[in-house]
Amino acid sequence: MLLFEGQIEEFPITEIIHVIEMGRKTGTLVIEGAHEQVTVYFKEGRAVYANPTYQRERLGNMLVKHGVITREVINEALDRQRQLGKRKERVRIGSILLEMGVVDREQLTNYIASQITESIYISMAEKKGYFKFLSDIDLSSHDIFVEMDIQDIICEGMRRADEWEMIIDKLPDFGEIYMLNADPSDDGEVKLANDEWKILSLVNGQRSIDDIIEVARLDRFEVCKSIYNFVQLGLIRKSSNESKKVPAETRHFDNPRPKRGIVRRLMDRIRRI
Amino acid sequence: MITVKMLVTGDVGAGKTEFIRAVSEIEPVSTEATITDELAELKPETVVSMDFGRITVDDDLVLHLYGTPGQIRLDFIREVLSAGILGYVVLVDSTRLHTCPATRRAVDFLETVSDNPYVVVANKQDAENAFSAEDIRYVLSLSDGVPVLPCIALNKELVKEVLFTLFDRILAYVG
Repeated sequence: MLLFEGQIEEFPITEIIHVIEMGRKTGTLVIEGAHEQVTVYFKEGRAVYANPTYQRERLGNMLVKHGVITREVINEALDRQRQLGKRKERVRIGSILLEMGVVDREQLTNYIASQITESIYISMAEKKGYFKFLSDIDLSSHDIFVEMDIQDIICEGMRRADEWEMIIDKLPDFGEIYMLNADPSDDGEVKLANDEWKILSLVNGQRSIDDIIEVARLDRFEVCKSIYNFVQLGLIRKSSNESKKVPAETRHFDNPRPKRGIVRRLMDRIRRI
Repeated sequence: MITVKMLVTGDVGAGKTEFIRAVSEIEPVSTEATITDELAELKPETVVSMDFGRITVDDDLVLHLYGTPGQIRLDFIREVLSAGILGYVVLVDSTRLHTCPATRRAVDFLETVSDNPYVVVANKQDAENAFSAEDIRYVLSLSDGVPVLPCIALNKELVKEVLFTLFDRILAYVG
C-alpha cells in the first residue's frame, strides 16, 4: 500500500529518510531521481537492504569491482537466477553466490551494507525526481540482511551532498574531456593515494568524466571528487579538443531499447483499462 | 521494479493533461519544475508545469506518463528522458494551427536527440473548427512514415488507440 509519495524538490530525501527512521517505519522506499533510481528496504526504521537499479553498483557488480568474484562467475550466477526465475523461484544473486561457494556470508553482509550506504548517498544527492514509500516489503526471497542504523549514513550523505554540489559546480558536464596539464602550477609536492593515481592515469585527453567513472570501477563520488581536486590543483585541465565533445543541446540520448516482452505487457495492461 | 517512461508533449492547451488522465490510474499530478535551459537564461527561475500519470502493470513493471510543454527543451527534458524512455506522443490542438511551428520545433528537437518512436496526435477532433489529421501533417511537414492520428483526448478508447499505434512502432523499433 502506498503510504506517501511526492517530488524530491519539495521533500528532500534526507527528510524522507528521517521520517522513516523517526517513525520506525517498515516498508520500501523507491526513489526515481533525475540521475539514478534506487530502492531501499526498511524494517522498523532501520535499513535492511538496497537495490540500486542502475547497473554499475548492483551487488554482483560490486563484488566483481572489488575483485571478490570474476565476471564469469557473476554471469554463471545470473544464468542460474534466470533458470530459477523461469520456474517461478525468485532467488537473490547473493544466495546463489553463497550456494556456489564463491563468497562467504560475512563478505556478502559487508557488501550489502556498502550497497545500502552507497544507495542512500546517491539518493541524497538527487535534487529532483519522484519518490514513494510503500508499506509493503517483500524480502521473502532475501536470506541475507543487515540492520543498519541510518543516522551515521545520513550525516555522511549530507556531507557528500555538500561536496557533490561543489563538484557539480566545478564539473557541470560529465561529458567533458580532460587532459593532463603540461604546465601545472608549482605548488610543491603532490601526494596521491593509489586510487587517485589510478584515476589520474585514466585522464588522457580522450576520455570524458563518465568514461573514467566507467573504466575506473571505483565509487562515482570518489572519482568525481578526485577529478575535482586534480582540477583545483592544476594537474589536469579541460581538453581544448572541443570536437570530441558533442554539444549538450544536440547530444543523443542512448536509451537502451526496451524488451519486446515489456512492450507487450504494457499493451495487455492498456487493453484492460 | 522496472519503470518505463512515456513523454506526452505539446503546446499549452493541446490536451496533455486530458490525454494522461484518460489512461492514468491516478489523477494526473501537476508539478512545477524550474527549467535550466536557454529559456531560463532569458528568464531566470522560469517555472513550468509538468503532469505526471502512472499505469501499473504488475509488481515488476510500471509506466510513467510525463506531460511536458512542447517549448521546454534541453536540460529539462534530458532529465526526464535520462532512463527508460519508450516513446513520445506529440499532441496538437487541431483547432489552433498557429501552435504548429512550436510543435514542429519540438518534433525537430526530439528527432535530433532520440531515435525513440513517436506519434503525432491531432487532438480535439470533436471541435467544429478542427482541422483534419492530414491538414496537421501538411502544416507540420511530416513525412508519411510518421503517424498523425485523429483523437479526442477525453475519449479513453481513442487515447488507447493512439498508445497501441505507438507501441506497434516501438515493437518495430526494438526488432
